[in-house]
Amino acid sequence: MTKKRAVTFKPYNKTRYAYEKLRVCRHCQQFTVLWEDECSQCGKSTLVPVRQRVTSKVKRTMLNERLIALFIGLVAIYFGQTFLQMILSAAAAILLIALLWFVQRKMLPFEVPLEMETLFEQEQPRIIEDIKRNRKLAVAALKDDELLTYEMLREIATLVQNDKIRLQQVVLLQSFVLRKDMDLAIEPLLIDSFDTDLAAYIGEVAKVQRELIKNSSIRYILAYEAHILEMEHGIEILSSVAAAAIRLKKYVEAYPEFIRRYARNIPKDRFLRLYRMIQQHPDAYWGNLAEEVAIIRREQYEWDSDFQ
Amino acid sequence: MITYVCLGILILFVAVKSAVYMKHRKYTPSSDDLDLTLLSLINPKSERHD
Repeated sequence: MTKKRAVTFKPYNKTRYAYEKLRVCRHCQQFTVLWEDECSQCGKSTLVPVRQRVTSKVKRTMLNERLIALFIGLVAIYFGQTFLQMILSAAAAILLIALLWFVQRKMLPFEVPLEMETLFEQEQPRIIEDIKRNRKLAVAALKDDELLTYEMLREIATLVQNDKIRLQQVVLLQSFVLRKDMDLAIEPLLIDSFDTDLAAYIGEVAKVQRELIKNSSIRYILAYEAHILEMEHGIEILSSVAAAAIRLKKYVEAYPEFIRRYARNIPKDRFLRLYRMIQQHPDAYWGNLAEEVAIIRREQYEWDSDFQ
Repeated sequence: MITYVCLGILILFVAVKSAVYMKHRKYTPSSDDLDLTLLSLINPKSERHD
């Protein structure tokens, strides 16, 4: 078994929207999803978020429109036959340009998203190509620095959502010692098929950050329970997930049979929590779990003062 | 005469631009829509489970 390394992850900047991760070089228009300070294509420090780039473009377009309006206004003033005509032309031009400027200012927040959508559609091949380049960079770093590869894949996975990249992350995570203070996740890494590394990863996370065990991860474990039982530490994985699920009553109520099957293997503190939960809610539906808990208590904790 | 034509063109220009902006407002995608668009462009359905 490969020895696991103790590592510290670079802080992960979680954005509200995935597109906020995408940046573009103002100089060569290359896209990137990584955190680099300089563009890997041209070497310049001109990477900006896509939104900022599009906003600049829209503002420039609007300025051009105002300049065109100004030009037409100046022509109107120039060809005025009397002084009064020139004054009136100037006043009309100023009013119309002011009106245009006012409308543009109000419409800017609506133009930017529209322009962004157009940009994504027009630049789709380029975006895909550049993200593939990011991915090649990540894979190239694998031999020398697994941690860097994982961090890069984590960023890329914000936009690239397929099972291959998820499994790449899981395999790398399995080479690290997982700790309570790490920025871990399960849901974004779940795939549709069974994978031993993913099952093992969920089992480990259940021990160090049980709050990450939610419906989706429990359902994954349940769906592939038979496969997990065939793994070397399968029972441990299933028991640790069952122990983590006990943290919330809704999971115990939703998966009583699953917890019943592994109740004998869970640590005392988790069993105690389960025992007290059942005692406090005798009318809730526990299936055969309540009976099993009573048997285990009698067999293992009959004289334990915590259970009196 | 040229002055009036130019002013007419200017009024038309500002009116058309304003109308186009107002029309665009109806079709503006939300941030969630933008996210969906970008993700669906990067992750075609055929590749999601590769």
